[in-house]
Amino acid sequence: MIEILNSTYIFFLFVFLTYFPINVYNQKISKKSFNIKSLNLLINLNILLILSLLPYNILNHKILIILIIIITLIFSYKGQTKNFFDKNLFIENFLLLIIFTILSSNILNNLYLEWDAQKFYFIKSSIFFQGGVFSDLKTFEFNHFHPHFGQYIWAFFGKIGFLENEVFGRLFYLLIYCFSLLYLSTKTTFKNYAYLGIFVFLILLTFEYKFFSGLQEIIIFSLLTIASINLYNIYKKQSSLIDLLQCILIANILIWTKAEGFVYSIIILILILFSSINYKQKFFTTISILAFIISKYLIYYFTEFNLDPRPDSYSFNYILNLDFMIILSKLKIIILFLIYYLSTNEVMILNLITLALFYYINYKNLNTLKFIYIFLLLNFLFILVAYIFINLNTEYSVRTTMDRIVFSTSGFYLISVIHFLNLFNKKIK
Amino acid sequence: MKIKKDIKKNAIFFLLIFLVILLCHKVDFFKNFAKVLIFNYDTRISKAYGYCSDTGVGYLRFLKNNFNFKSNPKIIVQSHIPSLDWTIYDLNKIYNNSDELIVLDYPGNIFSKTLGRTSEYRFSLRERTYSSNRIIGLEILGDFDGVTNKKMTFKLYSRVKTLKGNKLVKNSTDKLTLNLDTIENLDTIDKLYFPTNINLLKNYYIKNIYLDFMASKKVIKNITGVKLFFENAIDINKYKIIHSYNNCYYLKK
Repeated sequence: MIEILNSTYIFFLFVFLTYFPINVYNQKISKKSFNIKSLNLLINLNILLILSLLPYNILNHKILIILIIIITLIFSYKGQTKNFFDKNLFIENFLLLIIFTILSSNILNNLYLEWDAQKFYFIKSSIFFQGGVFSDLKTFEFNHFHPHFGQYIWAFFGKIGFLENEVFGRLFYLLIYCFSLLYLSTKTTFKNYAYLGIFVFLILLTFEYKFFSGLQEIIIFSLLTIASINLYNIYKKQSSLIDLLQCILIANILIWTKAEGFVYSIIILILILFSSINYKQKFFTTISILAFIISKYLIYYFTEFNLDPRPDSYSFNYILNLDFMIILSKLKIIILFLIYYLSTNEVMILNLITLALFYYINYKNLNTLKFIYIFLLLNFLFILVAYIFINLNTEYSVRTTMDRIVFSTSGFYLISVIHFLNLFNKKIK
Repeated sequence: MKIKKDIKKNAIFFLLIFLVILLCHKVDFFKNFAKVLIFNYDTRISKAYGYCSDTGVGYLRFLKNNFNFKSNPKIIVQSHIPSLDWTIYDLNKIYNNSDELIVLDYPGNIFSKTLGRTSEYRFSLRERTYSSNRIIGLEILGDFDGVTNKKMTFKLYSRVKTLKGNKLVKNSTDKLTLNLDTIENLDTIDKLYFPTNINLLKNYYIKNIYLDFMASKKVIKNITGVKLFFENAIDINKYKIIHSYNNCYYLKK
């Protein structure tokens, strides 16, 4: 029972992280509270990222952390307690808690960690969990294998509860996943609580235990889902500065989450540059994202971490010596497996059918979803290049990793399904 | 009419309840929830990984909870699984010299593996063999009735992941000859054992083993299988046994 109570505690802690530092009822910033909640979450995650790099482990002071959160919340929402008892908000959070309880029981019972989680991620998370700091990661032989942020969050939420156990850290992955899908479903224009139905349907479609078994792809999935909503607002010209800020903050978290997160950050930047926002904003975004990327490399350089995240897998010599026939034979394997993994991923099937239908029906006016098609193209290009240049047996690499790469980006395209449903709803009206 | 209106009004709630029930069914909610309530973390993780098996996280957690390790003990398993170091990892003990060893699913000082036929002349073992430095014997299964050639020649190839440099190295023996002359009643027995002394490179594991027979088709056709006997690189008798459970051991040098 105590584990269920601790999970609920983690749930509320996560919800609190979406309620500060910006007041979600501040209509001047955004009329949609979910937009501010998302921004709050991303700001807090970026703060945690900075804290994870400090030579001091804040996880030894969890009571202080909780106190800071509570005091900040009290000050931010002074005199606004009425808003917390709003019927819509109550139903939304209540459903989120029910879904969380259902799914967290699955994680709390299964407990199995996937291969990469056992080999690479768990020990990095343990280092933070046991009071270590960023530089202590160097003591672990696979420290270069992907950045540390996902594992820091894993340790943070594993330690912050009244029961300290790694499994509660993985509940954060579940919460950010649920949050991103709920945020996505709020973009529907259906009346009443239909968006909650869409939310549960998306959970039904995408939930699988293995994504919460310590793998980092679920964070990429969730962040890209949130990024797609922001880019949708930008391309629909309904954007505010909040959407742009969120994209920048997401880009920063992505580069510290997985090696390929760097590529997704660059793709987000490209998508922003293709949008119709003004040049000042484009300039600001470009400078910010490039500064984040450079900062990461500078931090790695000065702390003497290996700058190459996959030294065994990629080398210039190998790439320069690739001949045309090898590339062709690799392409054959990659494309065949890509088709296979796309066809075994229900979300991607739904996404691709929607994108094809939308293109067929509305090909003259693709502006709103243009960014999805560009992302699709760049993502496939990235997959091809990544596997052509890999210095390992292509078939082995593809078999062991491609399904996860396909999954981690599948959330990005889901906004097209929501857009399609909205168009359908508009026609019915 | 009123009921119809109410149903229409609440349709979305009915749909929501239906979807939530569907989700409960999909993820086995009630079973999971009950198990979380009834069993503690250690019992659940033991069920997920096994207690004393090659993924015996259950035994490792038992040791961690009941013994004060001086270091991060080295964990030895015999199969291709990710390292289990995460189970007992302690940041404060990483620089301590490890004279502690945990062996899971110990197959004995001598263990065997069966090679399958992959071509007319070749028998092979595709799975990895861990923790072995020497092949001490060879057993040939089959029907040896009418073996006219009293000598059987073969060559053994292996791919070894070396401890030094962590590289895959191809390894092969010279031609080895088995003398059948000394065996009586050859036509009535169905297996032959030959002692060997094939030293392998100091390895992390042996990736593949191929055994090519150089004999007449007739003889090879009657061979149904080949078994190799390995000497385990870990001899638990050379260690002090701190704790043991079935074939899992916590050892000290």
